[in-house]
Amino acid sequence: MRKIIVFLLIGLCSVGFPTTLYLIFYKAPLQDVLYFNQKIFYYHVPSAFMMFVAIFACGIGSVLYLWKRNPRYDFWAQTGAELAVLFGAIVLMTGSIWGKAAWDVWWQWDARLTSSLLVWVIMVAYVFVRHYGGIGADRLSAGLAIFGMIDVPLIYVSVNIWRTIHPQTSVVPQLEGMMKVTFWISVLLFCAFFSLLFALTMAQRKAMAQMDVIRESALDLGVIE
Amino acid sequence: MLMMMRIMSVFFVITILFPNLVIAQTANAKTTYISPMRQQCMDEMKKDKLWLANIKARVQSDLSYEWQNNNVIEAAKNNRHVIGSYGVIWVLVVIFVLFLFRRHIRMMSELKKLKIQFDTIEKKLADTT
Repeated sequence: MRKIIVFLLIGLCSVGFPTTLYLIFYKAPLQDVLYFNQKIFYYHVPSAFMMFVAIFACGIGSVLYLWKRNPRYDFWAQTGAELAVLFGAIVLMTGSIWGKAAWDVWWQWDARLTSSLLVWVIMVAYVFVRHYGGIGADRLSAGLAIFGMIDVPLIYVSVNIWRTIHPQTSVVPQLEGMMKVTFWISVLLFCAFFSLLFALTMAQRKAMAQMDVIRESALDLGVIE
Repeated sequence: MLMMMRIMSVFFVITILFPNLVIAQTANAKTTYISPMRQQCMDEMKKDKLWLANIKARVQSDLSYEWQNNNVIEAAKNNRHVIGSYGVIWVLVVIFVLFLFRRHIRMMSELKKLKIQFDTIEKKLADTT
């Protein structure tokens, strides 16, 4: 069943990426302020959504791990953190390029950009702590993930609270016609892509953990050296 | 004074490029903060007629049809940022997939090593029995 879902997701992504690119560049009309540069929006915003989902997966997984001490939740958290780093890097880099096109600067220390960078750095810290932290790194990184998760709502509302150069949250609800269709198809595609990467990373992590258990048991029994 | 002129020029450029944004920002600004420097600027402009004339001329030239038209053509033709963005996305995704693949290869080699060790033990046990 799991294999079928993975193959379905691979098929969906294989069809979805060319379809969305076609819709973005051939069907969606030019926006009347940013013109061609607005095309970045169709992958930039869904990447941001997926970054939020990944951080929530990491944060909720960490809370559950601290509470129940079940390694399954820890796998969730680790997978979420890795995907948050990937989608966060996409958001920050595409946003920076878009900023150069729209504002003529690569970076602005405004609320939305700074809080996004902060949460990305927290997620990178999580991954590094997990990799190099040694004993107790699981609990330490779980704490980091909770801090990251708390930052997500703040990122979302930052554009409405503070005066910022970044557009407000009203942009997506105001989309019309082909722009709206293209955007939501891109979001669905990114959901599928995220699910695929999540499933693969999670399966890999579980397999690694099982292998570690076998190796450690064999070492304890003196079966292998 | 030069600094103030620069700030005002930037404001006018932003007004032209992102009218919706500026309207929203202005609306927010009204409800939250009114700069005490407004009156000071207006008083200074009343005193310094040349400065006022310079600002007016600058605004009029920035708002000219030609200036706006050039900006529109530039924005419509500019595709290097879009290509750069989509390129970056694919590069990052490929790096991530390669990272997963590398981890998979490492895991498979460890699994192979374990299997060899278990096979050796099994053979030894079979020989002794």
